[in-house]
Parts: sequence; structure tokens; C-alpha cells
Amino acid sequence: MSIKLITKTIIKSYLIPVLWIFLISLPIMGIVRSIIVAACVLIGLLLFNIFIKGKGQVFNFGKHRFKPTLYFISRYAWLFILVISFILPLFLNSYDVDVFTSVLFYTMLALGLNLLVGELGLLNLGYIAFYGIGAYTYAILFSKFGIGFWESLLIGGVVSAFFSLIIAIPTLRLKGDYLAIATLGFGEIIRIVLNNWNSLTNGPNGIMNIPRPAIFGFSLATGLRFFYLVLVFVVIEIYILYRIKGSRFGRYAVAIRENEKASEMVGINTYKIKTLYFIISAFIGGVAGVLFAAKQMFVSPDSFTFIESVYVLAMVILGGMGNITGVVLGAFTLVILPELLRGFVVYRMLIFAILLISLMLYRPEGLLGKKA
Amino acid sequence: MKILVQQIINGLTTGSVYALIALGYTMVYGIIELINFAHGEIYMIGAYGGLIVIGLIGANHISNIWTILLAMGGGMLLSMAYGFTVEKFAYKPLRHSSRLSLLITALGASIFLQNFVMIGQGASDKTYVSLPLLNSVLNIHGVSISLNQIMIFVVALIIMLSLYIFVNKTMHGWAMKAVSEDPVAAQLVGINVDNIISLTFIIGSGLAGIAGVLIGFYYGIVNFYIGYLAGIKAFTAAVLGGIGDIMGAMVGGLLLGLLESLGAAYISSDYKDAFAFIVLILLLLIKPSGIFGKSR
Repeated sequence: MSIKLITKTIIKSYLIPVLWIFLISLPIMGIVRSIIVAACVLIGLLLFNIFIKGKGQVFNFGKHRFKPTLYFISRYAWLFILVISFILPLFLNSYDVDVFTSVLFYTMLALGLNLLVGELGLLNLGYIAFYGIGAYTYAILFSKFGIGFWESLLIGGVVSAFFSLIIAIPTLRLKGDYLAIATLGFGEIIRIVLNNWNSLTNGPNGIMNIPRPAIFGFSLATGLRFFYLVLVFVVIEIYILYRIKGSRFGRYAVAIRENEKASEMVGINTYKIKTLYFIISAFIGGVAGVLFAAKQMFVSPDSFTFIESVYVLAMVILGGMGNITGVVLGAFTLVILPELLRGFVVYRMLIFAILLISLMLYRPEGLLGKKA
Repeated sequence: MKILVQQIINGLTTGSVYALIALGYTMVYGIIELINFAHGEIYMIGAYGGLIVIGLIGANHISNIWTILLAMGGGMLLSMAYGFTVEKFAYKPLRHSSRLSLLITALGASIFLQNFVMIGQGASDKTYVSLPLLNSVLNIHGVSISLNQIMIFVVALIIMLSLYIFVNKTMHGWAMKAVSEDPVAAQLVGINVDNIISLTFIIGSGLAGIAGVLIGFYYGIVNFYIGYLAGIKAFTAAVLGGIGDIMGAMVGGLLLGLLESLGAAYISSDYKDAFAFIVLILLLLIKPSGIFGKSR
């Protein structure tokens, strides 16, 4: 390469972008912080060109390119994760246990959503509504009728599934993005109703004093015990999902995702399968919601906003759609990451956003997803 | 009757703003089939752009009209710059990946911009100057229209007309339509697809920026999170009119504004935000492609 070409490349792919970023962040950030932003962009560009655009050219050993052995990990990870997650919390303080409980909640949700997004390829942008319905079912059943946790667990799931049926019957006939938009609308309507139906949901103030459960007189009220309760549910859920995935229905779903017309031709009732998946996924969301209400001992509409739906979706996509281990990893990453960044205070979410974008640029198919 | 007319006027005012934002959604969706989550934030940045320009020039030194024009220009330029940059950094590298991964980077861009502005400008509300010109109110048979509302309506109308002319009568507009029909074929006939996509982002963002400044003058307060709700509403408006269709976005925006203000006045103001979504779902069931959309 000639000197002239190198200078040209440097100017074009580094100098101009960095100056441009400096210029546009000037009005919002002021001079000092804009210089910092520009410096970060410079570093980012260097990293991007080395790792993402060059696809790991740094690790290029002759013919054999370095590839992360993620596929291997994904096959045996479950055993490892299971053991770790049973033992680890014993050594953590109560705050960290809470964080890991929240990982479990998001895992439940992400796996439930994965049934639709990953297995069937249906985009649901209002999934958090089912979580909300489950949580509020328990809260209302307890505060109005004194019904306990274990009964509510089942009722919450069923109510949630019932609502999903209402939304599924008409909207499942829609295609692709229109379904996504209809579910988005549904999620927003549920949140607005929760926010405004004062006599039933106590409006924006939410419902307080929801009890944590006990089993055979053994209280599950402490953070650690509750963690194990949720963990048991997550394990059961993962087991069931694996069974579904390996069953006839799981194969139907994959067939529908890959080619809906062709699967109809070979006699699969696509509408029925989709509705079934919708119901199962909503049931999972509802059960998770009841658990969540018991964990928080308080529900308010703020926990069930659109951005939460998107957050769960991000976990599914980041982990690798359709891959159960991947989705668990996605949920773990997206909950733990902001916690690790807690030391950066106000810069926390900023860095989180940058990492989210970079991860997607690095592996567009998700951490454990298959390459298309 | 007076209430009805008053509500229609208020509805058209907010509706014009929704329409301006919806245009950006619909243009981007039309061209790369992406639900651009960051678009609401681009609108918010426009509002801040106007604010920053007003702060720089000092509203007392020059006439009100110049203040408005400069604020709009500033907001528009800043939004354009950010829209362009977001596309280059977060969307372009993923042009050939699945649309879902694009959705996630869009989400990341949205979180990023919100926090970026929060850090740069502070988390508290910022107030726009209150201009005497805009505050004057016309009273016609008991129905009051402020000059501010007239300004929003007129500006939105001018912009929509010029956009319509741009898309239908100029080479670049045709190229844009061609790319949204079939990017590969467009490339084959010699259209630079990358440039057209950038152009689409720039125009859409500019419109959102102007909408941000207009809303800044109208409500008087801006904050770093205003993009979220406005974004969802505008997106709903875009779908209402038929996503990907420019006329549809304009009509959808106005319709949504009307629905909201009439619903709030005659049914219940608590559920104001829900009407939009109920109508949206009903419409999707009857005619999924929206009012103007072609059925696919």
C-alpha cells in the first residue's frame, strides 16, 4: 500500500467519522464531553474494524481461523448452569440473590416468548401483558377474595392463556409485522386498563401487601428461599420446553416457521398450532407474573411497559432465537450487564446500549444462534 | 357544538405533529422494512436542537418569527445529523442480516440516544421561551384557536406538500420509490441504494426534528423521554394509514389526533391513550394493510 492510500484510508474511515461525531455531539454535550465522546468513537472504530469487519482477522492462524467453541458449550452448558445456580446463591448477599432471582424471572419470560419468536417466527411485541395479567390476577384474587398463592398460580396462568386466546383468534390470521403491531397494541391496552381501572387495580398506585407463599407450612418468604422456588419453576419450564421441542408439535412449529404454505400442504393445521403455541406462551407468562407479584409483594402498571416487552425480545434475539440455552444466556447477559455497570452510575445505560449494539453487530444471529 | 369544533381543532394540531413523525417511520419502513425504534428519540433531539438554538441566539434580541424559523432550522439540522449517523453506525453494517437483529440495534440506538441527551442536557424538564406572537388567541364564535396551533397546522401542511412533490416529481423521489419496491432491481438500473437509504433517513429525521420544535413551542416543556410515547403514537398512526405509504402516514396522523381528542372529550380522558390502540387493532382485523396500504 502506498503512503497516499494509507493516509486516504485513515482520513476516510477514522478522521471524518470522528470529527463528524464531535461536531454533532457538540450542541448536546458541550466541548469537553464531546472530545471524550469523539475519543470513544475512535477506539470503537478501531475495535470494530479489527474484530467485526475483519471477522476476527487478528486470530487468523493460517488456514484455521479461530472460532469460539460456543456450540460445544451450548450442548453441555445446562448441567453446569444447573449445578452452579443451585450452589452459588448460598454464598451471595441478599442483593445479589435478588439480581439472580430477576435473571430467573427474565429467563422464564424469554423462554416463553421464544416459543413464539424463536420456534414459530411470530413477533410478539406485547408479551409483557401476559406477565402483567398473571401478576394482577394474584394481586386481585388475594386482596379481594383472599385466595392463596398456589391456587392463584394456576388461575393466573389460565387467565393469561384465556386473554391470549382472545387476542390470538383474530390476530393470528395477520401476517408478519402486522401481528407484531397488533400485539403491541394489545400490550399497551392492557397497561392502560391496569393504570385506569381504579376500583379493581387501584390505578397507578398499584396493589400492596401481597404475601409470599409457604409450602406445607414451610415459609418461602426470604429472598434465598424464593430464589429456589423460582429456580424450580425455571427448571420445570426448561424441561417441558425441551419436550415440546422434541415432540411432533415442535417439529410442526419449525415447519411452519420455515415455510407456512408448504406445511399446510402436508396437512399441518397451522392456525391450530399457532394458537396452541400462543396459549402455552401466555400461560408461562402468567405463571411468571404470579411469581413476580409474590416476589415483589407489590404490583403496579409501571412494571409492565412496552419497553419491558422489547427487553425480553432483546434477550431472545441476543441469545439466539430458537436455542433454549442461548435464550437463557441472553436473559443472563441482559440482566447482569447493567448490574456490572452499576459503578458507572449515569453512564450505565449508555454503555449498556453500546454493548447491545456491538454484540448485535458482532453476531447478528445471536450469541448461540445458527448462521443462516 | 362548540366543544366539538374545539376538540377537532386540538385534535388536528396534535395530529399534524403525529403525522410529521409518522412520515419518518413510514419512509424508513417502506425502504428497509425496519420498525425504527430510535425515531422517537430523533424527534426528541429535534426538540432539544430548537431549544439549544434559542439559547444561543437569545430570544429577546430578534423578532419572534426569526426565533421560530431559526429554532426549526436548528432542530431539523440536528435531527438530520443524528438520523444519518444512527443509520450509518447501527443499521448499515446489518443491512444483510435478519430484520430482527436490526430491530435490536434500533432499540439499542434508542436507549443510547435517550441517555446521551440525559447526560448532556440533564434529566430535568427544560422550558421553551414563551413567545408573545404564538400566544395570541383568535376567538371565532367562542371557539379559540391560538396562533401556535395555526402555525403547527400550516407548517405541517407545507412540509407534507413539499414531501409529496419531492417523492412524486423529482428524480430522487422516484429513486426512493424504486428502492422501496425492489432494492436489487433499483441497483441494477443504476440507483445508489446506500445513498437513497441515507437520504430517506435524513429526510424522515428532519421532519421529526421540526415536529419536535413545534411541540416544544406548543407545550413549552421538553424532556429526554418525550420521544417514547410520541414514537409509539406516531408509529400507530403510520400503521393506521398503511405503513410504507406516505399519504397514509399523513392521514393516519391526523386521524389519530382527532380520535384521541374526541375520545378524550366524549368518552373518557383516562383512556385517551388506549383509543388509538383499540382503533388500531380493529383496523388491523378489518383491513390489515391500513387505510391506504396495498394488500400484500
